[in-house]
Amino acid sequence: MATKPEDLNLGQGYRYGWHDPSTSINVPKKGLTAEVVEEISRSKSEPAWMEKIRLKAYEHFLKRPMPAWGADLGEIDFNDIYYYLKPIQDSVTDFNDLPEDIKRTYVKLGISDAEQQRLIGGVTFQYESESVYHSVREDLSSKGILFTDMDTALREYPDIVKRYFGTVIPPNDNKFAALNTAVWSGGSFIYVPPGVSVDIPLQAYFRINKENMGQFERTLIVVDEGAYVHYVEGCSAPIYASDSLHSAVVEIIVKKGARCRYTTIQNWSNNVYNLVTKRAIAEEDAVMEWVDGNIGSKITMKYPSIYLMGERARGEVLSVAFAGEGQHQDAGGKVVHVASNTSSQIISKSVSAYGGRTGYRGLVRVDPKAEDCKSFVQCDALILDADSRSDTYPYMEIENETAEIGHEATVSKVGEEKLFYLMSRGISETEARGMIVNGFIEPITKELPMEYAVELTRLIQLQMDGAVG
Amino acid sequence: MSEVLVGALDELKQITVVKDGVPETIAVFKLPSGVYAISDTCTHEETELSDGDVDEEDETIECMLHGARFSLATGEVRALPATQPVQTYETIVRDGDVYLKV
Amino acid sequence: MHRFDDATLDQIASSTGEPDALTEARRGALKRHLELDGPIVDVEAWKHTKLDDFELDAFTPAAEACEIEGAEAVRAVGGIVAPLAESLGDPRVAAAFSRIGFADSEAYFTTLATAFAAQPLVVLVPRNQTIEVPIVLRRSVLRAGDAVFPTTLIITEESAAVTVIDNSRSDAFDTGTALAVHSTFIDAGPGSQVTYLSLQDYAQDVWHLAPTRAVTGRDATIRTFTATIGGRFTRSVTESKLIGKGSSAELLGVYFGDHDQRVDHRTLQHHIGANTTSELSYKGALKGHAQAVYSGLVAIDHEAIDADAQQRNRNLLLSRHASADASPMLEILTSEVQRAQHGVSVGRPDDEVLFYLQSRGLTPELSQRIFVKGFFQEVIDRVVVGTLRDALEDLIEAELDLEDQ
Repeated sequence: MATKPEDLNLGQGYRYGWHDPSTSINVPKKGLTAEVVEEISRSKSEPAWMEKIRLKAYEHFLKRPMPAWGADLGEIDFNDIYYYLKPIQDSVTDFNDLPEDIKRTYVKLGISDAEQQRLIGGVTFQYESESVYHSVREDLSSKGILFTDMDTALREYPDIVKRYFGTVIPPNDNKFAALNTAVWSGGSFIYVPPGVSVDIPLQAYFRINKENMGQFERTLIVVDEGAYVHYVEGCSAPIYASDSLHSAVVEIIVKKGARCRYTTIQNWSNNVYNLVTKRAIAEEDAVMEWVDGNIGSKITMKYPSIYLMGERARGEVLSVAFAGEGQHQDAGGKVVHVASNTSSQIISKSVSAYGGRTGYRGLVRVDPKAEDCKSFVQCDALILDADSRSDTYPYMEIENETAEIGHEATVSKVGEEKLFYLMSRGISETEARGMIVNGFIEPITKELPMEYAVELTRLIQLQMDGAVG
Repeated sequence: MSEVLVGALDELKQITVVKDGVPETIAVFKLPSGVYAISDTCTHEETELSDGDVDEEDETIECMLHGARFSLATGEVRALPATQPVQTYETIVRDGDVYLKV
Repeated sequence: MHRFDDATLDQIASSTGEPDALTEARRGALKRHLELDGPIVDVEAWKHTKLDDFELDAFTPAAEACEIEGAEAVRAVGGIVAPLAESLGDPRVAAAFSRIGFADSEAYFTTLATAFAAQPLVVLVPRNQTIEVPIVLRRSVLRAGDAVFPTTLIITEESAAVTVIDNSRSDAFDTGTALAVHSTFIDAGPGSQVTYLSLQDYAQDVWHLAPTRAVTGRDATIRTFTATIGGRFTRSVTESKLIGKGSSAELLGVYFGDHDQRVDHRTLQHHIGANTTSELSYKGALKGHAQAVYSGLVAIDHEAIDADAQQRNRNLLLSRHASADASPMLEILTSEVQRAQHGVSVGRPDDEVLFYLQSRGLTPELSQRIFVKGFFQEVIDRVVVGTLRDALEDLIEAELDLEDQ
């Protein structure tokens, strides 16, 4: 499964492209069989019901054809991927107990600083297939907040996991959800008790190190009645000539009156296939917000979804995507209004340059019994040069006549007049383009925590400077 | 409301009844906890539920197509992508035979 | 009983006395049709549309009935209004004929049309001629079980101009249904203008398919207007291919569904040449258990610099059981775009406006009526032919009068 080196955005500003020698506790092998699935389950000492779910999902995965729409996944070779690599025996709670090379990775990535500065409420680091480091602020744990990796959650809170696992994204939802359900490893588990508000974000960082590695994290978040949490995840991987696969599943249940915001800044290197299924259920009076930033990866297919199951629930998807040379970002959002008086908003901003390709794919559905629902979608695309491309595929399925549904989309280029105006004020063309792009995505970046907004802006700027240098 | 004979307790299967002129297939399941009957059509994309997996402990049925789950006792949705509950029917076991109330 | 087979095809071919090329085309089309598994040739292009209750075997090919008005005005200036069989010998017609094509997704029906259309009609307007009077084609379906294939080829030479109105209606059958596939191909030469207005008011036992494609020469202008009022199932596919530099297309549509009608509109605004413009506005109202599907693509090719494209679809839901699915799509392959924009809305009549009207003493029914008429007026006003505007307004009134089901 190869990407030609000249197709990669090598050395153009992606500063996470290094890799470390690969060490692991298990003997990693390529390819996927039922035995590999069983071995994963065994090495985690999982209960029988989880092994059964994995094996059934594996059967679904084999039978399901590849999707006939979206990006071109024709070059993925499922036999050329490592499905499970355990980097250390047990995860640690003291950062200094990490093996040197892994510790260095996170220092280089600048992650540990944020934690040390108490800017976050808790953090988990995933390296290859497993969580290696985890900590939660004491005051949060004492309120009954559970924040751990998914493997630990299955061991320590099996009842909660069994109750919710696969209820939002069932094993046969799509081919990649089936794959994830079969070989999932790592990911975050969060439970917030009723009425508890987690005032500062919980964070996770995912890192792929080995070449041809597949990362299949599984995240489950349950926000109980009236509670609030903001979860942020970031990711990166080394640049290799051959491809990696990241196929994650995120399930979120936001209960009555609760609120959850899930922010992702995806910055995989340009040889990663990023195929993610993310979905939330919002009950009565609940609010779910997806903030989705897609900068990296070779191909991303990701459409955060919300099912508004309870009255007056609200869902929002804010999506920003940048596709540079050799990249295809196919993103968007999906909202299903099942209950009455629910509302939703999807705002998508995408930028394509240097032959990159962005796509917005979305669905707004109003079920026949859902009265007085409102939804508004705005998807705008900026194409920076003549070789780049933008596609918009919104679907609206409205089966209740009281719904108020609006959708607007505009595809544009950088206006000559705007550019001219800025340059006449002594700003260089590159800077001017950067300012225009920043203005374009501002409605989304203003929703990000400060350091993420800064980082996102910086990353996009670097991508734009890319080949011009 | 009338009673319809489904069959002997050990030979349960689906049965088609006609309600208001519309034929409807009902799937009947025998679990350790009792006999349950639900409409055989998944409310997501109308696949036959009787082909799916029954979890005896949870008393649920999982649709074989995408994995939607329903409670056999109440018909309510336990897992997406179904969002509407499935119709349930009362069953009576008498002298080793199972009857449906429709 | 005539069936969709070679025997019927041969009979039609011999009765028209057509050139071999046409008969060859018929045979090729029938062969392709028989290779298809069914109407749903392309799942994406038929998304949301079910045809489970459609049985081709319920129909037999019949000759289409068509009355033509305004032909003399065209012939008087050296133009053509004649069957294709008679005019294929004219090189201008032959050239346009070689360019005929329709959306692949409609192949099941377009192959049938090519094979079994008894008398495809050619309307050709010579260079620099403007036909002031609209050409009116009146079509009707006569009997249940009939399948008719009215086919029209409209050709305008350089700087010519013509307006063609296609009017279809039928009386309800006691029992059974009929099939009408209206294929229309418009070949607009450089600098020419073609206005094609299609008003479909069949009874609700007709399956109506209307594949339409228009191609433009440099600086040509195409205006299409599609009104769908009747029919049990209507699928109208209107494609504009803006090949000629500077050419433009205005695609307008109105639809009003009631009872169990299914109304399916698919459109294409394909910008191929530079400096091309397209504007689409389709508005529909649904009552009863009617279902509408709108799916439209604006595709701007890499070489189509400075394209200006707009696309609007607005749906009014007037009853509990009406529904609308809409997917307006954009595929833009260049940044050199003047404008590429679309908007869709689905909903009930605006509460604020209704409240305002009621506060002025109007009943709720009358307020809604006024709202719906205003909703459509904006598109109807753009129809250039006065009599057609009047006819449309009457049809909207009649729809509003219908008892809700």
